[in-house]
Amino acid sequence: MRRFLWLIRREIWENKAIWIAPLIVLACMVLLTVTGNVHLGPIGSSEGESAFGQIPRETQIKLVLIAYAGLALVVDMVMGIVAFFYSIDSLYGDRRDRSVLFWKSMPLSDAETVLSKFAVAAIAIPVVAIAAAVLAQFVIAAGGSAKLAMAGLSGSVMWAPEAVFGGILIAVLWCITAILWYAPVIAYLMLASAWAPRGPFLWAVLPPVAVWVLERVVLHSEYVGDFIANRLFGLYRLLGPRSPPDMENAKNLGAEVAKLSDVDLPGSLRELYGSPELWLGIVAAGVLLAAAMWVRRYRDETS
Amino acid sequence: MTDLIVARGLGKSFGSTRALHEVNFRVNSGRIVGLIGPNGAGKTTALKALLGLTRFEGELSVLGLDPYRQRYQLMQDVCFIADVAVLPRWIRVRQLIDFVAATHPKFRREVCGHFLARSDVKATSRVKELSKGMVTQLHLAIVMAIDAKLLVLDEPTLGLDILMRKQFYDTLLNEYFDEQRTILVTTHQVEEVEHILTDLLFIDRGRIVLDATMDEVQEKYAHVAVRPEHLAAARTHKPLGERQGLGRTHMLFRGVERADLERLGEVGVPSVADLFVAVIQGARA
Repeated sequence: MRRFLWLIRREIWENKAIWIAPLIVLACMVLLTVTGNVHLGPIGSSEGESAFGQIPRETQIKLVLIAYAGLALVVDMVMGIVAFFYSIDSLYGDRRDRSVLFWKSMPLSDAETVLSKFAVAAIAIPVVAIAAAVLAQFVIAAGGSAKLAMAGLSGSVMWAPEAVFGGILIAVLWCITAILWYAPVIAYLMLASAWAPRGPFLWAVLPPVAVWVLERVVLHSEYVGDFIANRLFGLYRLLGPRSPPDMENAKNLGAEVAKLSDVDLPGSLRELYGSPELWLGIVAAGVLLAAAMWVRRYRDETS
Repeated sequence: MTDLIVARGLGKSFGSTRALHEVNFRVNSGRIVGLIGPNGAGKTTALKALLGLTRFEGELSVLGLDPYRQRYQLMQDVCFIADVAVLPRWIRVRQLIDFVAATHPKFRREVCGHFLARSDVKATSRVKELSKGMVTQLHLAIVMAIDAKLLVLDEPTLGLDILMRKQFYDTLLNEYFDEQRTILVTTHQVEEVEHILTDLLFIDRGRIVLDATMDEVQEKYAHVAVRPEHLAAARTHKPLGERQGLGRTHMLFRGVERADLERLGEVGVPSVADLFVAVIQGARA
C-alpha cells in the first residue's frame, strides 16, 4: 500500500497540471469576486441584486444552490479535461523519453504501475476537483454576500447550510458518478497510451472516429456515433431541465427558477445507478485496464 | 560456484534479421563478465532477453527464474542500466532517491548518499539540469546502492570522460563487487574494463565466438613481439592476428608451446582488445 501511494505521488510530481489547473480556476473565481463580478440576477442590470432581494428566501437558497452546483460542474469539467490528457499520456510519456527502462528496472509490477495511474485519473484528480469546487464555492459565497451587502441586503443566504452543504453534496455526488461513468473512457485512453507506437492522442481518437465515419458512410446509421456521444456527454443530460430557464431576459425571476424544479437530480441519479449502462461500463473498464497492463508488460521496448 | 545465468539455444529475430543464433552460455556467481562485440552483434538483444524485456526463443534461466514470465520476481535481485540517460528528466534528484528508497526493498540510502557526495550532483537539481556525466553518476550511485545479486550494465560509461570512467570502474571493483555479486557489462572501451573482468564472452553476428575466463585466456593465448628475423618461423605457428609495431611484428597465438614462442621474441599476455580483433576476424574469415 505504501508503495502504491509512492507511485501516485510520483505521478503528481510529474503531472503538475493536476494542481495547477484547479489553482487557475480558483484564481479566476477570486478575480471575479474582487472585481465585483459575482452577479445574482440578470447580468448587466444594476437592479440584479434588488430583484434577487424581492424573491422569497426559500427560492433564493435554491438559486444559490444552483449557482454552487454550476460552479462544481465547471471545476469538474476542467479536471475532466486534465484527466483526459493525463490518461492519454500516462503510459506513453515514459516510453517517449525512454525512462520506462529505468522504471522497469525497479521491482514494481506493471499491474501496479497501470493501477496507480488509473487511481490518479479516477481518484486523485476527482478528490482535487471536489476540494477545488468547495473552495471555489466559498470564494463565490464571499463575493456574493459582499455584493448583497452593498445593495443593502443580507448576505446570509450565500452561507445558508442548505445551499453550502447542498453544493458540497452535489460536487461529491457528481464526481463519484462521473468517475463511474467515465471509468471505461479512462481505461480506453490508457490502453491507447500503452499501445501507441507514437502520437497516443491520434491512436486514441482515430479508431472510434474511423468506425463512426465508416458506419455512416456504409450503413447510413449512427449507432457508433450515438454510443460514443452518449458515453462522452450523456451524463450531462441528468442536469438539464426539460425547458431551461431564460435568465437573461427574466422579468419574473421566481417563475424562471420554478422551472428548475423539474430538474430531479436525485431521481436521475437513481435511474442511472439502476441502469445496466453504468455497470457494463465498469466491467468494460476492468477489461480495458487488464489489456493495458498486458500491453505494458509485454510490449517490447527494444525496437 | 553456481550457475546464475544459463542460456541454451537462446535465439531472437527481428523480422528477417537474426539477432541471436541459438546461443549457449553460462555465467557463474561472483564473476565480472564482459559481453563484448561490435555494434549490432546482438549484445543488447541478449541483455534485454536476460532482463525479461524482450521475448526470445530457447531456454533462459536467470537466478533460476524465467526472465520473461517471472520478471517481477527477478527484479527483486537484478539491477540494470539498460541504456544511457534513461532517468526521467522531470524528476528532482531528492525525489528520485526518495522514490527508490520507498519502493526498492534492497536500496541502501546511505550508500547512495556516499557515492553521490563525491559527485557534483545536487539533491535539489532536476535531472534535466544535470550534465550527461552527472546523470550517469547519479544512475550509477542509485544502482550501486541496491544490494542486488546480478548487476547488468549496458555501456554504462558512455558519455563520461576518462577520469570519471576510471573512477567508476575502480569504485565498482573495490566498493561494490564481492563474491555474492555478479556483474555483466558490455562496453566499447575494452581497455578500461579488462583489468576488472574475470570472464569474457565475445559475440559477433549473433553468435558467441569466445567464452573463456581470463585465466584460460592467459593460459591459452599469448602475445609475441616477433623479431624481424623470425617472421617466417612465427607464421608457421598460424598466428590469429598480426599487427606491425616499432621494429617488431605483434602476433597473437593460441595453444602454442611457450618455449617455441620465446624463441621468436618477447612473450606477453594479450590485451583483450587484440584478442577481440583477432577472434572476430578469425570468426568472420
